[in-house]
Amino acid sequence: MNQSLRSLRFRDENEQTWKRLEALIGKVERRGAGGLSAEEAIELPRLYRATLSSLSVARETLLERATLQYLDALVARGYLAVYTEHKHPFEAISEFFSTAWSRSVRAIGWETLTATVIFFAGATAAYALVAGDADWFFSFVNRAFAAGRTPEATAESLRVGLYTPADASRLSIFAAELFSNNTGVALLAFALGFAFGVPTAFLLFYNGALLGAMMYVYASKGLAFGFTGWLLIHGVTELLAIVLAGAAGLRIGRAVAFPGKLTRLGSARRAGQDTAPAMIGVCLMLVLAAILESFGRELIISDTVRYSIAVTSGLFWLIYFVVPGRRGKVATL
Amino acid sequence: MMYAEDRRARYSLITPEGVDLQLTLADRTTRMGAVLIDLAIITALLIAFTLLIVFGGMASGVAGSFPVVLVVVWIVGAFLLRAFYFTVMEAGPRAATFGKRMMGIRVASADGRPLTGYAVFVRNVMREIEVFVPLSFFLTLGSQAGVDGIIVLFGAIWSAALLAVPFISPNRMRGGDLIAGTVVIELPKLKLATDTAATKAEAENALAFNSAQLDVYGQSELQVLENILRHRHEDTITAVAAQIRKKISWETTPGETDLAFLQAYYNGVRQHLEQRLLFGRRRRDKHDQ
Repeated sequence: MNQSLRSLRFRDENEQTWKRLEALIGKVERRGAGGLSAEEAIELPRLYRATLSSLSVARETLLERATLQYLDALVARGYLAVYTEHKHPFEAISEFFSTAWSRSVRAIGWETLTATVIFFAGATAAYALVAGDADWFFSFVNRAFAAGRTPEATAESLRVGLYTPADASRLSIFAAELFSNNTGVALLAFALGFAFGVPTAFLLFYNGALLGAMMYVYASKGLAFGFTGWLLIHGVTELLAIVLAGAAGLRIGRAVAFPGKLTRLGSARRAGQDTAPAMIGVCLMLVLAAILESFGRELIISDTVRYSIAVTSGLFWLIYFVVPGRRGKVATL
Repeated sequence: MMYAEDRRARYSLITPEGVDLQLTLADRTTRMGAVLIDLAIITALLIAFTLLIVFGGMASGVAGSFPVVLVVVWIVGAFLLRAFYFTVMEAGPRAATFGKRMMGIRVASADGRPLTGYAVFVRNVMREIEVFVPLSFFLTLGSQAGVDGIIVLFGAIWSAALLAVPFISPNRMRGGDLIAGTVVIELPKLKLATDTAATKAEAENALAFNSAQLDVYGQSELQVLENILRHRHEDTITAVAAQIRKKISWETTPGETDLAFLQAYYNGVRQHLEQRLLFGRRRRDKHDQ
């Protein structure tokens, strides 16, 4: 076609490339980078670069707004389609379990220590306060949660609670609720970290206090050993998860308060990226804790078995967080 | 009105090839709209899910007892839906929830690198305190008469501070965007429209403009003309044609329609300006010499 306008000739020459790129981008947007065939995967970046250069030329020579806008939008979509995560989902999952999770937990080691101290400070304070005056109990624990396990309860009723297999059906509902609740608390502890970690520290202290108050109820009746075993079947995993969530929140708070050489925003972003795998891990740990809880409370009555499960799970987490992914390249988040 | 889109906030992203993509940041109202659509979808799904469980339970159940498994499924399912709807949707290849797709926006990494699942997770964990905490605070405000004044005040300050973040942060980032390093951009799917100049005016050959007549306008006016020719609103065409004829002292030739005149004049000006561009002289608008 004989075109008098150079811009029309330019468009005639390149239109096929643009349309082809558009089709491939559509595929990536629908099915991810894995949705492309091998040939298309090679074709995509080539078409993208050709269109990018069309855009550069167009910005200098085209006067028609519609075409300029079309190219702008197409190249932006192309950029996001080309520079996208090309990992296969399985690959990403295996990387998470083999390196990213444990690495992320190790990166918040000091915060984990701090969070643990805050948690047990809460537990100790509550224990001491309730020991001094039993009325304090209800400042930490609401009646519905306590479900009869209050300072007024008799040793016998408490002992029955610890060593009688609970009704399986009621327990699984309880575990499901607890999972939702705990995960909610963990996510909150993380998210609140940005306020210099203060609300996170408060949340950790409060959860510790809950434990301390309950502990006094049992300890005062000479049931400390039994209660600890009963709690720790799932408690090792659950409390560790909550402490880790708090630690991740404290890390973000620290990053915002003391950015060092980075900008405050850059520092917060870095902390968010560093702690994200640990937080995903926290959610998984809470699922595991809920499963342990619903089976453990029903099936396991003996103190010995309880303590061996607690010790085993503790050792498992210790080894899992310390060992994997020490070598190899640093994950780019 | 014609230039409104040029005032939208741009987000500069330089590709490795050195081209500035000039992405458009999503409006705060657009994002709010997307969130409201998503909340409506979550609510609808939750209701549908609940009904499914209830009817499933009644169909399978022995009279008087509801299957426990279904209760557990409901509790866990409802929680997962509320807590991870956003994360799962945005971690997909479109990086957008249904609400965002409808509004033509998506999440992108602020530094131009690929958006990771971790970043999506972080920005949506923060959503919990940015959207759901203020939301539930305002929703329960009326129902709790006896709440301590201090707590109400604290809640109000907290909510206001979080809601203010997208207004004072760079690139309209909310708290979750700041910590995850993400931005929300507009990403319209535009179709390649026919070039305005590709439509030949019937009377083009008969209409010859001299260079003084073509020299009246610049690129910006040309694009306004393009817009008018695209929409073909009759009254506008008549009015604009009359105005241009007057401005360039054009004698109407016999049988010349307003549309044909505008089309021919558009083609003429465009050719003229493209010619100037070839010599590196861009004329942005009529005031630019």
